[in-house]
Amino acid sequence: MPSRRRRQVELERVLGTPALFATAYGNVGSSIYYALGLTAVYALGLTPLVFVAAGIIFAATAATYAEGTVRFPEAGGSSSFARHAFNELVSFGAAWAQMLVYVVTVATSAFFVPHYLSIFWEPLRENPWDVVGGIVVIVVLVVLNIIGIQEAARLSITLAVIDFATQVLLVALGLVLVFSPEILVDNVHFGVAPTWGNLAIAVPVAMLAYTGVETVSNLAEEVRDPVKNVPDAYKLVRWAVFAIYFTLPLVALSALPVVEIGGELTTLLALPPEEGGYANDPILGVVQNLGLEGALLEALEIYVGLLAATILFIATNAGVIGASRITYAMATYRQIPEVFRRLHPRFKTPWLSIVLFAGVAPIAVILPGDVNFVGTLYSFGATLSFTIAHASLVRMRMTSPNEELLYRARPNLRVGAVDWPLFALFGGIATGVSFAVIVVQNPATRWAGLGWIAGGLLFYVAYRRRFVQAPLTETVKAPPAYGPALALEYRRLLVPVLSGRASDDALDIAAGLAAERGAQITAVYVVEIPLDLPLSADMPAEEALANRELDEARAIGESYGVTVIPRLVRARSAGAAIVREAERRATELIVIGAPRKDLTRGKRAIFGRTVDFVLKNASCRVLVTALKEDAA
Amino acid sequence: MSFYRAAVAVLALLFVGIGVALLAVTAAHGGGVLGFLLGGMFIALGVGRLTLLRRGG
Repeated sequence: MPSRRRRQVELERVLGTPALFATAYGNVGSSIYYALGLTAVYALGLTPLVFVAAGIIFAATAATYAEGTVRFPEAGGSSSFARHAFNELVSFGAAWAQMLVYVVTVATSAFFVPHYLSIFWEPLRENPWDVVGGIVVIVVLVVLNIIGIQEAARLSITLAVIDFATQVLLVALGLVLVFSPEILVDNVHFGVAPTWGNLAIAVPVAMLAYTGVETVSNLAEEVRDPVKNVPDAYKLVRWAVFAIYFTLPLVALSALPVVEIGGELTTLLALPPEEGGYANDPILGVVQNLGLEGALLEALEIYVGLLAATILFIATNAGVIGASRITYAMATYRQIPEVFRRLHPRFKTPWLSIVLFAGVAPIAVILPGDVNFVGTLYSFGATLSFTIAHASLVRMRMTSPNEELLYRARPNLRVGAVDWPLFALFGGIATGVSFAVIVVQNPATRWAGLGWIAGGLLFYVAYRRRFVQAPLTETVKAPPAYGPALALEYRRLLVPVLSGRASDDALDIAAGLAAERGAQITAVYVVEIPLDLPLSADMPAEEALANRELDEARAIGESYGVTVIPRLVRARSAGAAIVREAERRATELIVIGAPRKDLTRGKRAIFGRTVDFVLKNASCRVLVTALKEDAA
Repeated sequence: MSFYRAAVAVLALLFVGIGVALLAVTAAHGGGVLGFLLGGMFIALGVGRLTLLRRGG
């Protein structure tokens, strides 16, 4: 039976390393379309160097997110790390800062879509038409997300690959046609253009280019093998963005050098369109100054303009989804009212959070039409959120130094009992200083950002004291938001998977139950690692078998029309791993298959060791299925 | 070869390619410390990563 099913259903490991990498690069890689101009405003001729500095901070941040996400493979990123390392109040601070990042991501990406579409209609490059265009993009995506569109994963992956290839092509063309080391050296006028103050603010602003580092974390719950897939995806994203972000600015500043314009040393990359610059569409500016002419230039302009607009549209959508996910997570942990995770009666989507945080708030941000304000506001939220993430990781290493980690990012320094994460220490200091620079240097961003944080904290205090009636630092999880027959509505099922008919039988029963109730199944295969090996050890034969069984589980689920999330877990003991995974996912029912055993004098257990452990320790209901054929 | 190893190899080769292009263009422009330095660094990064990959990293 299982092999027949395998032939019937086309199997794909949806969230393995390739899909995670493509999704993350789709997000991070989209930022270059606006970050280049915004950074050049402050960094001028030092823009390439500033991107390298921000890239090193990004690498440290990616390492922190990789380790944190493997440790806690759940949505939330820095907010989740802070909950485990500190308490719910710090977690709220991180989540609220992250919310600001999503709001600004939606605003920025949407605002730049019309800029790149200006190849068809020139007024879209400037106010007020870019503001109008940005608002239209946001409204369209909010409506589509409320109706409940399915993001086409394959399309996003294809676009990410095309995007990367196009960026490589632009770098190659630029290196051949315009790259000039002399111009790059002549561009720099230390202390004058840029001034030291502007140079200091340029680094946090350049971090805008690395928007999307938390994408992988937010997908962690759906990743097949977090221990391998998450770090691999982060490492690949790091290399891919370095390849582009360390080279495209060299080409851009060669093509659009720092010159004296209106008595000031500046570059056309940093000037708004009304002054003849390309701050609103920097990549189009690069294309137009590569020295190409005629039909080739026109074709490349249209291609890059359309691709950039499409990529930014998808990045806006990712921001909308991110905002609704973080809102849902916050409401689940009683950080904001329950109403924000209430689903629309017809479309079954969290409509209020989408309208408010992915619609109204981003529109308010872009209404002034000031791109520099938008950029620095992003940096405010991102640097705060990253600093909390780094601090959380350092604290977790301090408080549980002997915990056996599934993945340990590098480099580290062993002092006493603690393995100090040098990447997180460096990243935390760098992002903390960047945050301070933004607050000190930029009054508009200071008051808007601090106002956002202060308003959120006041609301949190009032809500927790008045409605939740729990201490500010205590983690309180809301019950699943399902219908009145809560006790018998199994919406989250977990099925431990092994090779053999008992496991297939359990999955059949679980899929039958899930199909009736529109529920979701998590299929868990536990690879038990011997004590003499590290938890992250390669076990190729066992992993291959696990992947086969998880594919099988997905196929069985699909034959019932049920979504099965495959999860490979590495642990010392299968029973404990199953119980832990069930608790983490707020599972309501574990369906576990068990071969029946003869009750002889020497055998006191009816089932095996794992089933017994799950029965004794699971905090949810457990349904044990035994094959009919095994009956005595 | 896994997707990860293949992707790392491709990206490392891309770094080497960028480095070679930087060196060639700099030489064609009559030289310059910055161009040679950048080219050399990109090649070193790419070759270094490929070496690590061959050692199983």
